[in-house]
Amino acid sequence: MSVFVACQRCGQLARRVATPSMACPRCGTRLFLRKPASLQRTLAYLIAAAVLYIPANLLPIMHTATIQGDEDDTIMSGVLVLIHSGSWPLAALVFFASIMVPILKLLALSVLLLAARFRWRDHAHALGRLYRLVEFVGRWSLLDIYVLTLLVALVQLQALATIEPRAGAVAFAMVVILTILAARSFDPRLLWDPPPAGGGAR
Amino acid sequence: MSRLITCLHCDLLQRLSGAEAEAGAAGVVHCSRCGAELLHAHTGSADLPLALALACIPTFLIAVGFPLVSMNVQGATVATTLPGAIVALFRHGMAFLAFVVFVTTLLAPAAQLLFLAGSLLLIRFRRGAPHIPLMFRFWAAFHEWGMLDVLMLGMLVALGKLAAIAAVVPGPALWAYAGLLVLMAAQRTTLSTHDFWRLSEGGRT
Repeated sequence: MSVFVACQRCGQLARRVATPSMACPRCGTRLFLRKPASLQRTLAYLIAAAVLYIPANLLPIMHTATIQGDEDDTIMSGVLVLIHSGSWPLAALVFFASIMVPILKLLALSVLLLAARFRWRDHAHALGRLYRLVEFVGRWSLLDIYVLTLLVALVQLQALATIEPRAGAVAFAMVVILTILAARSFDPRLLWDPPPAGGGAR
Repeated sequence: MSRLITCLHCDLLQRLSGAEAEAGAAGVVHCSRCGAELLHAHTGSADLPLALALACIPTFLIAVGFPLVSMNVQGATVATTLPGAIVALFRHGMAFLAFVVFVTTLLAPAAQLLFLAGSLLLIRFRRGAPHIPLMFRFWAAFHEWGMLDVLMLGMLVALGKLAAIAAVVPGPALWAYAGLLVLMAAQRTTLSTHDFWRLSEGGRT
């Protein structure tokens, strides 16, 4: 195959040598023609994220205790509360970051995995753009975790109101981290690789 | 003059020719096959990115050390800093969440700023060249996990939610974060990976 390997971290082009492990001559990052076991790793992270997606959405992420009574909030009910209190822009933002982005990410990564596995080269251009989009928006899902962190720290007014984190938030944070790891271990260059007959490096 | 470059997204080896190939020329080149950014070069020395990176450090310290928000409820004032909020999460038994928030909002941004400023200082004063590759790798690794922009948005959402139940006053740290995001964005627009290595290899202009 190719004579050159590009460093994924600094972009340096290096002449390929026949040693088992090779480091970038400029920045020292280990060089691989393709990320090792890319599809297997991505699939493993993706399955773990999909499983945790269920408790992340069904379990409450926070518990509010006020003088009027106790209340458990899931991610979705948190969005509904924002809508009822009239904060449309905030509700839309949280809905997008916490509900749309994770589900679209799970779907997009599944499509990318299938495309790389079965070499749908005809759509490589569009899929490559999809991958860059997934990489870019994935981190924004941690939004709800930061909101929760601040609410928990501030709303500790003994008799009046307290907010406590609940298990759903842990599952949700794990979904976000796992999908970020899945996107990182996916190698977009696989989308462009010729069908296996050409000597694949899968 | 021409040079070879590989697209990191689709692995197509291509030859740059003409103006883009000159070391020190400014411009953006996209991959001819997949359209991803192939090369993003700026002109100029290490001075501006270094100044911006250094300016981020005290701003970050203010953002971490001062209260983010304070809240007035029936005469009592509650305030929290970011480290305080992380400790509160930990005390509620959410060690994993506390760890995630700690890494993405404190450790990674701090390490990223220090390694960037450190390596730019070495480049600017032409010292310690052997240490630059390692510092670059640390910077790049932490850079991926720093999520201050998301945190900023999260703080605004939290402010919006709290405003419904109490009088909320944005603290000094909130303004520091806003400033920090502007500084970091400015720094990113003055220095790409390509520029970093051009400058470290002697800053030909």
